[in-house]
Amino acid sequence: MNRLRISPIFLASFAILIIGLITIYSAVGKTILLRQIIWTIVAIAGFIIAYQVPRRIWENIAVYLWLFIFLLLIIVLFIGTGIGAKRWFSVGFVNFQPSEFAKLAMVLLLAQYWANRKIRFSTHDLIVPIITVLIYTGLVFMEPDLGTALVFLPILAVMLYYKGLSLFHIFLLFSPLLSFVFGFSLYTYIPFFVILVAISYKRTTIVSWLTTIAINIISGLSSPIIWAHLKDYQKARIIGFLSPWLDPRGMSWNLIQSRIAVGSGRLFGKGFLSGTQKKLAFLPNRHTDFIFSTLAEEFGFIGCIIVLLLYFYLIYQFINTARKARDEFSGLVAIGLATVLAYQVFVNIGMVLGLLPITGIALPFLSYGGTSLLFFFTSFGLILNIRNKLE
Amino acid sequence: MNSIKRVKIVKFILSLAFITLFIYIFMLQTFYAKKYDLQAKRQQTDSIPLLAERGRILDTKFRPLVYNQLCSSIRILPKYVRCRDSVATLLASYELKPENEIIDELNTKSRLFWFKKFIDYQVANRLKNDLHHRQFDNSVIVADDIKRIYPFGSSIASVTGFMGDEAGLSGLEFAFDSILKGKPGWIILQKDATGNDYYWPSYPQVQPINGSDVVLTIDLEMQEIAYKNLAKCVDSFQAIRGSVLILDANDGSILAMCDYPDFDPQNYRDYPSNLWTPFAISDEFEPGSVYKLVICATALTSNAKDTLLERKYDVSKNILISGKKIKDVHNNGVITFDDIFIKSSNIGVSLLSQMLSAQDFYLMERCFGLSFPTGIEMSGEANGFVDRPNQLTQLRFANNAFGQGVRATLLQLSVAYLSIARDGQLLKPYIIKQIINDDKVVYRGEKKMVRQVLDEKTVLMIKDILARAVTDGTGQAAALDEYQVCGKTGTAQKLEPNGRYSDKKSLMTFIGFFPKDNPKYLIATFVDEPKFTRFAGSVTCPLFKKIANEILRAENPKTNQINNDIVIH
Repeated sequence: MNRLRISPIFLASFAILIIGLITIYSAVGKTILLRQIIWTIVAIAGFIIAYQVPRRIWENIAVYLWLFIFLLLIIVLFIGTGIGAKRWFSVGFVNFQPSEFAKLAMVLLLAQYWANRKIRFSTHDLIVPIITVLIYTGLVFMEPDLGTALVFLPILAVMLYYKGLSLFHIFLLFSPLLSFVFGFSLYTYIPFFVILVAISYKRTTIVSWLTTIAINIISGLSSPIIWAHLKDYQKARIIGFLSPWLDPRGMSWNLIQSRIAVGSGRLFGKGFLSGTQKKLAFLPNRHTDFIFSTLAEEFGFIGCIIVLLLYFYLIYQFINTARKARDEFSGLVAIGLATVLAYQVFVNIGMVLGLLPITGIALPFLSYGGTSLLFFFTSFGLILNIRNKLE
Repeated sequence: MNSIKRVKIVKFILSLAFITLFIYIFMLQTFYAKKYDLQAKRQQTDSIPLLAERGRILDTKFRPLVYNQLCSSIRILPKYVRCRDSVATLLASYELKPENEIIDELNTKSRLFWFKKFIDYQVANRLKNDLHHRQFDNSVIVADDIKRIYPFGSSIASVTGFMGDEAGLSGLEFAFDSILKGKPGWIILQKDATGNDYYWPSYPQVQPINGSDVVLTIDLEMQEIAYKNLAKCVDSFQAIRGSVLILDANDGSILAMCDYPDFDPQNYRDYPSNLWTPFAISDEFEPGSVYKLVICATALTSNAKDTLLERKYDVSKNILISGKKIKDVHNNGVITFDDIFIKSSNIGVSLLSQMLSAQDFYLMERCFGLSFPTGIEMSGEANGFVDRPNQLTQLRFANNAFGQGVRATLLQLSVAYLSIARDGQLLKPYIIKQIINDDKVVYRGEKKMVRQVLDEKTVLMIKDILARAVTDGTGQAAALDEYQVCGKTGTAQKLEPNGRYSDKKSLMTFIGFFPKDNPKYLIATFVDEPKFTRFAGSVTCPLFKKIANEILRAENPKTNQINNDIVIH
């Protein structure tokens, strides 16, 4: 049995949790708070399990866990529930979101696959990770849940980088995705394509150079086609992000209201329970995806800074764990989980501030949502488990 | 594998990302905070105006001449009407307008417009609930409104004036707008995202200050008497218009002021704008013979007074001044000073003007307050006009002396005559008796002397002349049974467009006060262009008499009552 030590990193995560509970209470009141507290107890159970289960077992179950979640992700497409999407399994009052655990399964699988294995920029080395990642991304995207679907890509990229692949190769690997994004307009696509062709010329073999070009052309062309098949609300979110004041009552409502909440919070906030944006129901999803606006409105810049510093410290320690890990599997797991945490913090807060498009992703430890809490506490338990072996 | 370097790069990128967030949040919450704060306040609050009740206008016995009725008005924002047909059907079901007309309006108008003003408050409340229920209340706005009620309508319309959409536009409603209207208040309510309001006591709130009531010196009974008789007179002579002014001879307060034809203050737009203002105050005219009071007073105060009084005046022949012929209507032969005025001889007055100084005449005009506003508390008072002494040629002086070429308002003339009734004191006329705010009298109108125009002796002589003008002269039709009346007729020929005086069209005036000793009332009657007659004696004098008699009759029951009481005790 591992004995739990009260370390600063442990305190930091609990501080975020407490701030989250306070904010949830302020945002929506007692009933939801009570549910979140019950979920917190469940999450702590997950934390203890993750903390106690030996590293070797994690490594051994990685493939089975991945397959299990894979099944769940397929089933949820048929019997799932959610607002305009199929994301959750609903059992009585409990909603379970398999995509949350897909993150853990993906990190474990990649870590297990790459542990003690050399890696080069070759089809042979990369095909299995890329396909597994694409399967998860695709399945979650079909729910649809764009925010969570995209989390697998940075996991892949950062873990590859950590494993030793050069930035250039990672760039090449992700170039079809960038082609896809830039493909929405010829004015962005053509410059990108020219640069890609120029800098990859001579640095790769002729075969992979041509392959790269071919794939990029295809993905660049596919984006207008996929755009045509996007759901209206997804299109609306992208357009709303690009020009929020086009339709202030419609699709950009969330973005505008969130910025107003943050901005009007000023340096010291309006005070606990006094956020008017929140209270008068201008803020959408004020206890889930937009909980940071509620916090920013009531506790102001000071509150934001405290929360951001806590996150920064947490992520920093996750990365340190990766650096100091005794074995490669542990290091890969740590860097993978650090990536998930950093991605979600940055994407969520960026969304709340209007820096990034609205993708609907939870703020770790803070947002209301049981599965998310369970996932982060489990991965936190894993990190502490890994750290435990450091000294 | 240089994993340590790589981890450092990852940390560096992480730091960059967090610094971006830091800076951005800091910008939002400091430099842009004001903007977002303002946006938050704007969308989170509703400012609701609290109507201040407009003050009433009351007569001297506190009977309301103008008061308010709570009702509702409907405005529509066509842009936000979701379903025009069902809105139209709903509104039509309240019988506000026919359905097709409503649809027409909704289709043609694009901006916020008044759909219907002043609908019944109870009905409007039901409509409001219906609209809210069917969620039309964002486009069809039912708001409390206050309707001005003019219970005596047109008989006093030119005095009370009328209201536009927001403010008084004429008469006392205009002149006393700032006093009547009070000060609207407002409350600020919190509004949630779906538009529901919440009362939040810590938000600023300003109670409305209701307008003050304005109490007039006008006596409704006299006003009715004056109006009724004036209307009858104007109608029977098919005159263009007429006006009656009754002053309290004791203090110069206005007891009645009416015009005919009149207008409906609620539908003032349907009437020509010259009817909107009281003639007695805002219209100046060439007074004719009533103006002879001035030359009479000038003569009686001049150094040559005694000779003027002693000598006889031959008015049997027309006289020529600067090539212009001055005529009388009747041949009056050779007459005394008094008779010039009693018979109202233009030739006589012209002869007098040749013996008097233009300077003295001008001073007397100014002393009587002619060519100055009287200072009554109403807007739009006309100044009138007199010639300066250096402009008075012999001909002009003679003309002015019998009231041609000068202009005055009926009120100015009445005030001048009132000074005779008041032993030579020129009073400032007033119409405001009290202004009452919150049951407290904040202003009290009172008698104000402007100056002593004439000494008592002169006044007595003029009074005698004026009394005889009624008993023996042109104003015989104005004589009353009970009291001796002092008065003077005026028949002014109207100027034709070609610049000549018309033979047929004239302005007729009679200004008189009674009783002769200790006068109580001064009544001025004016009729513009009566047909069938050429002399004021047959138009304005009988009008005066009828009004005076009715006033006395209205008074009498009271005096009888007092007498009875005395008998009983």
